[in-house]
Amino acid sequence: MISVHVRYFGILAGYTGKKHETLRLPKDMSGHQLMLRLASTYGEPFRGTVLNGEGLSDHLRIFRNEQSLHGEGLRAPLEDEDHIMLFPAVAGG
Amino acid sequence: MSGFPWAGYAGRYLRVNLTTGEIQKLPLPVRWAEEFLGGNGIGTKILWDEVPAGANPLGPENKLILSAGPLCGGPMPNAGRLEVIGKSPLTGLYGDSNAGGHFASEMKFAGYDLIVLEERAPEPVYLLIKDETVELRPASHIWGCGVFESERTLQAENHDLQIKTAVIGPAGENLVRFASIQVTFRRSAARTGLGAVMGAKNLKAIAVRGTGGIPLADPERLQQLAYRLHMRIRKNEFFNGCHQFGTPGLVALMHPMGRFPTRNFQYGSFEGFEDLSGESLREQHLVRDISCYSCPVGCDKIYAVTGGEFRGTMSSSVEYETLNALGACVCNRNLPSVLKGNELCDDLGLDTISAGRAVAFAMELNERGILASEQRDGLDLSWGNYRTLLDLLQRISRREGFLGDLLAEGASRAARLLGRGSDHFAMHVKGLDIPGQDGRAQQSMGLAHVTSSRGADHLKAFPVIDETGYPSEASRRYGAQFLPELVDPLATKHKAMLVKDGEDFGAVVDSSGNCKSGGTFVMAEVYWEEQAQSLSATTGIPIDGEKLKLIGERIYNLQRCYNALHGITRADDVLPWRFTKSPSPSGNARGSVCRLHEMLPEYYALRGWDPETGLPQKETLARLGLDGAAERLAEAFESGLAQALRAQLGWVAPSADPPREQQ
Amino acid sequence: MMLVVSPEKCTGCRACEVFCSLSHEGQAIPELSRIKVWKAEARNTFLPIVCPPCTERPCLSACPEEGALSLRQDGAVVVEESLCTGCCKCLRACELGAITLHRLEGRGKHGKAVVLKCDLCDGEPWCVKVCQPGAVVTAEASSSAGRSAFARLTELRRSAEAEMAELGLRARREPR
Repeated sequence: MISVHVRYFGILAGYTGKKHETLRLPKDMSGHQLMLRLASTYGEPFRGTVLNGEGLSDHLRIFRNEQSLHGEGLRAPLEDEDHIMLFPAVAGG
Repeated sequence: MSGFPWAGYAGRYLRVNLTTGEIQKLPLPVRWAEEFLGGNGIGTKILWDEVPAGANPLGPENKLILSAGPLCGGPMPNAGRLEVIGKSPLTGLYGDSNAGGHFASEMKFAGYDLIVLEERAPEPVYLLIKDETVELRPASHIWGCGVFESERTLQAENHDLQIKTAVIGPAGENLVRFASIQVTFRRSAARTGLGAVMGAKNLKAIAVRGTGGIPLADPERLQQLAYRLHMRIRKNEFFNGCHQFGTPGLVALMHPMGRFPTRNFQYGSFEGFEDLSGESLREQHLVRDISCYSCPVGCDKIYAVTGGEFRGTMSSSVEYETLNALGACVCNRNLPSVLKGNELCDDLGLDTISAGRAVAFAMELNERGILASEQRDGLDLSWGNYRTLLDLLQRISRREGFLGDLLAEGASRAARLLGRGSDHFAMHVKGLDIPGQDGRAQQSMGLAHVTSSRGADHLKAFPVIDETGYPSEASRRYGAQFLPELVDPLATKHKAMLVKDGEDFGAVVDSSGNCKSGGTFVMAEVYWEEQAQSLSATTGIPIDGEKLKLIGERIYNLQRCYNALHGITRADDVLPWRFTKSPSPSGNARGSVCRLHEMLPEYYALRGWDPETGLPQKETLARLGLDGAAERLAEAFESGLAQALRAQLGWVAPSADPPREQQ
Repeated sequence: MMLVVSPEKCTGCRACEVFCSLSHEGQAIPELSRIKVWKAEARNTFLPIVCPPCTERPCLSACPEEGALSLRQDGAVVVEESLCTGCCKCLRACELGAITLHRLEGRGKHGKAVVLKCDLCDGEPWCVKVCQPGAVVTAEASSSAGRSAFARLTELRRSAEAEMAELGLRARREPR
């Protein structure tokens, strides 16, 4: 088992009811799998914001240790003490 | 107005000679509306026609134009934005700024599409407009007062709480080069320092109350279209976030993106970002949501500080830019002090972006030992000292002390005055301070900062679609063939197209009177066709998307031409070395530089501008119906006047090379 | 049906005013809107004023012209413009200030002036449709929530006017 810290930003914090949590996860869990698990835990409307079918929504931004997690990176296994940040993909100025 | 062939417009405008006191109510030239639309476009046309290139921005020859668009006052979402146009005291070039709130709609109800202010009043005055009654009133009793007190006085002496005002504070009076014009309610027309133009004209305020109406060409069709767009925005995926947090909702995400300028752009991520986030702001300080005219987004908020050192602060329109400029960029993580700083800037009448950048500039000079000890006015200029920041805002507004007076010139001019290699640390393009983005983290934005017609600015092109990447919106607007690069912030491919399209559409939006943060760019629900339909249902002018594109291009090219009269060419389309030569150390942008050279040539080609000079080619100007512009440009360069004016512009060009110790 | 106003939700956007005026007057003219948002932003005061209608209907009793004001089947109190003389008795009777007088050429019995007030559109009020924060919503006529909202709004308006008067700012209720 590994410990992974997850932070929720913007409207995601409202949907989960929390700003951050530390999760105990199986060793080989990937970023993609983590998102599926969180979607299952929190249901709607969180699920609708982060998932698009079984894939991840275009409008979700994930950072692992302050590096963008997308494409191949989503399939890599997470590591102990990883810091995950989840954002709705806001833009503007 | 009887006689004017199109609906939506008042069909009438005001020309005020502040020296003689003469006020003229004039019919709106139909050509202005048909070729330049309104708002920003008509202001640009007037500047081109009437303010010579050699005019001193703070002299009587400059004109200040307040311009509403044909949509203003109508039912379209956020149809209430005011454009202010004039020659900028900060850059010496084409200047404009745009403010939300409720002033522009009121101008239309009073029966005026725009106000042109000329010359200079012998004593402080304010312009009062109440429907047909237009007069200049004495303002000596409020000259020297802050914006808030002036507003209260104007409401009280006119016995009308619903009067809308555009006011300058002490900063405008003292000709601070980045002084703002504050517009009901606490919205700012701030960039490029047009508040100083008002100050130089001895004009303290414009107050307006209108009880008339705006006839519409097809009221039923417009009502249905506008309602449909209101609902599309409310149902947009990003609506909840925009509504709850406003632009501050961007802070947290920009941190890992490396797109949150910190320590005068040395970094793109800020350790204290959570303290400055939209989430913190909402949780700790929210009083209520407020909205600009006819806008469903309600992104603006009233915030209050109820305890601690800044107890009693009440501020609204606290935007992402301000959280950056008075926060991360000066390494300040104290949120109440940022709210206080925002409140101060609104009361003193200062552009938060340029003011914050001036302080960041001073703090970096201090870090590098470039300021002599007697040049610090006894202030502790360490990064993050928010008391110094707030103190400096006051000093700048009054031009007090060595630093107050120096920084009131803006970082780019201060660098020229100071010398000693300080020019390496003034982060600007064409004299205007770079706002809260980093071209290393978003390539298109680096290009946008360079090609913006008013100097470094994110709002002219406003490339939202590749800020973090919206593939579906990009497909819908441009086509799937441009993916994936179009939505990759670190890719340069297709970004010239994105920036040019943004600038043209942006020029149309700024000329129509609706808002870039409410459906046209952010929450992309309104694009060329929807905008054209709303304009034709409003005015009756037969416009389609293609015709609108031409208008946008025309306006943008004319702004470029106006700058060219001052000798602005490709040589000034440059970014400071920090963006092109110093790899970002931060977040997702780590290791990246802005590859401007990969985007700029394509941009010129798309624009029909000469690749060597960066100037609009004759064929382009002819295609756009800008008669005489090519000749006027040729004459300006052949006579040497353009080059001479360029040499007098007052700011130092951004250094393309790093300072010696960083090479 | 009645309108229920929650002023704390109002953002002051005035979309209600522009859509109301558009649907009733055929142009964008908030001055003639039947719903008016009374604002004093610096004092955090936003009051959307509109006839709910209330249960007492003092306007109806005050009107001296037969048929100028009448009670419609759905509960709306409506103005018949051709019979309205602009005497303003209804306006003065209204505790909320939801009736306004307008000197308009060609309107009203004498072609000089007429009062305007909310007529609940045709059962689908536009203000409700365009109010994003839900500061004005519909409820069953004479619902208790509606009645207490009305009482509260009337009180808020009264105290706001008093406050403004103290500051030398008349919040005009009387016609010019």
